[in-house]
Amino acid sequence: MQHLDDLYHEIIRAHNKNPENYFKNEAAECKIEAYNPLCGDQFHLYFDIHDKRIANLSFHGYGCAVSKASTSIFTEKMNGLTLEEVLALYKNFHACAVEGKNTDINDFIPFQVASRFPGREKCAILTWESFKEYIERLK
Amino acid sequence: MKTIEGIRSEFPLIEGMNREGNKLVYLDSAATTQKPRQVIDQLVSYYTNSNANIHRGTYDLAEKATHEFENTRKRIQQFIHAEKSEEIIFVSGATEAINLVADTFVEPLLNIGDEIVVSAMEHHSNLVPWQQLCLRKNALLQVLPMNKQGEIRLEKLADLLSGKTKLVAVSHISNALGTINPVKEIVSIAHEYGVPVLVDGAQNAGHHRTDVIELDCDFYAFSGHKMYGPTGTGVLYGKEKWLEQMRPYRYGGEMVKTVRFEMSSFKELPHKFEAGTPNIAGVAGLQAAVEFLENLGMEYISKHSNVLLQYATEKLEEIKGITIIGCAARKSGIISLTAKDIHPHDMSTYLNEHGIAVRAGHHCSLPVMNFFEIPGTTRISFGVYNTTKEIDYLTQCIKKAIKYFA
Repeated sequence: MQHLDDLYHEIIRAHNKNPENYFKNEAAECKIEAYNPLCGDQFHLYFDIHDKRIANLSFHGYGCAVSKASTSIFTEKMNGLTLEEVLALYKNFHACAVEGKNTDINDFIPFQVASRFPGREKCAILTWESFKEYIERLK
Repeated sequence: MKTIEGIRSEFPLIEGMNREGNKLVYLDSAATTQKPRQVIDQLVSYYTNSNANIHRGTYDLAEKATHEFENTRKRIQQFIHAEKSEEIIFVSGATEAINLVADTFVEPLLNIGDEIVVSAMEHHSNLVPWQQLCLRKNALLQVLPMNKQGEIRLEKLADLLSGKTKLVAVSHISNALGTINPVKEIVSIAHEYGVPVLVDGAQNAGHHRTDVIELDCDFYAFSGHKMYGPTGTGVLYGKEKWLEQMRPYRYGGEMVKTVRFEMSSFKELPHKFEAGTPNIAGVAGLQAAVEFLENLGMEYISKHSNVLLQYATEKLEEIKGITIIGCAARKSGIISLTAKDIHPHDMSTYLNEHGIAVRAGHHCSLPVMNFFEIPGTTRISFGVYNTTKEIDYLTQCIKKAIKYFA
C-alpha cells in the first residue's frame, strides 16, 4: 500500500474532497478549458487579469483525484501572480510533477510520484499545461 | 474437457507473472486477449521454418509459405462459416476492414443527401470512418438509438431506412457495454429495404460462434488480437457479389495482373485487396489462434464467458455504490461500471496496485459515455483464462477501493 499512499497523499485526497476555488464564474474575463481526450478529464478555468496579475481564479469540471487536486492547488498558487511569475511557477511544478525533481514547495511534493504511475503522466500537469499555453499566447 | 488450470497454463504471460509472485489478474481481454503458447510458438516457427514471400516464389520454401497462408484463409472461412475462401480478405485489423469498405464499397455509391446508419453504441472505429465519409460526400449519418439498458431500439430501424440509405454499420457486441446486438434481425430489416449491412465483429469472433451465412450480413470485420491471435492481423469478410464490384483498396505489388505505364489490371478476389507483402507471420499466428479456439470449442468458450458474466454481475451488484452501465438482456463478458464518485483512473490505479488489470476511460466510445451522461467507466472484460476466484478477488479490491477513496 506504500505506493498508493505516495500517490494519494493526504494533500491530494484533501484537495480532491474539498477543492479550493471550485465554482463557475461565467462573468470572468478569461475562460479556458483543460481537456485530456485520453481520459475525458475536463476543467474550466475562470480568471481576470488585473494590473497584469491573475485575479479571481477559479475552476469547475471533472477529473481524477490527482488532476482535481492539482487544479485546486494551481488556483491557490497562481492567483495574484504576474505572467512572468506564472511561467516561473509552471516550470517549478513541471520539474517536480513531470521530471520528478525535488521542490521547495510543500504542496507540490505529492505530485512528484504521479508521473511514475502507468497512464497517469498527464493527470498532475493537465491544467498547468493548458494555462501556460494560454499565458504564452498573451505575452 | 480441459480444466481451467490447464487452459491458464497455456498462457505463458499469465502463468509466468503469477508463478514469479507478480500477481496478474488480467481483466482487459476486450482491449486485447493474452496469447496462448501455440500462437507464440507459431510466430517463431514461421520465421524458423517457413519464411519466404508468398504468391511469387518458384522454389519450395515460397510454395510452403504460400500454402500455409492460403490454408489459413480456408480455416478462417470455415471458422466464420463463409461460403467461399475468396470472401476472406486479410487486413491489419477491424479498423482497416471498416475503412476498406468505406472507401471502396460505400464511397462510390454515396451521393449528396444519401445516408449511412450507425448504432448509438459504436466504437469510434465503426463510427468515425462513416462520419468522415458523410462529411466528404455531403451525406447524412443517421443514428439508430439505444435505450437506457444499452439495447438497440430495433423498432426505430425501419424509420431510418429509405432508398437513400447506402449502408447500415453496427457492432455485433458493444465493447463499452457488452450488449449482444440483434444483428440477424437488423440485417433482415435492412435487407427488406435493399440496404447492405456491415457488422463489426471485433468483440464476438473470439468469444462466441460466428456464422456469417446465418447472420446474412454483407460484411463482417474482426481483429486477430482480440481472439488470442497476433496484433496487426484481421479479417474482412464480404459477400462475393459486393467484393467483385469493389475497386481495390490499396495499389502496389501482389494485387496486379499486368502493369503498363498507362494502365494496370488487377487480380481476382481476394488478392486485389491485398497489396504488398502481407503480415504472413501474423496470419500464421492467426491460424494457430483459430486452432486454439476450435480445440476449446466456441460453445465452451461462450459458456465460460457467460458464467463469469453472471457471477461477476451478481457480486458487483451487491457492492454499495457500484452502478453497472449497460444492463441489456443479452450480454457478452464485458462489464462497465462506475463506483460512487471515484474516477475510473483512480479505481484502475488502485486495482493495478493489487495486480488487477482493467480498462478505465471512455473505451473509444465517447457518444456512449455522453448518452449515459458519464465521463467514463471502469471496464472489466473476460477471457478463457479468467476464474470466479479472480472475480472474488476483484470484488474484494473494489470494496477496499471504495473505502480508500471515501
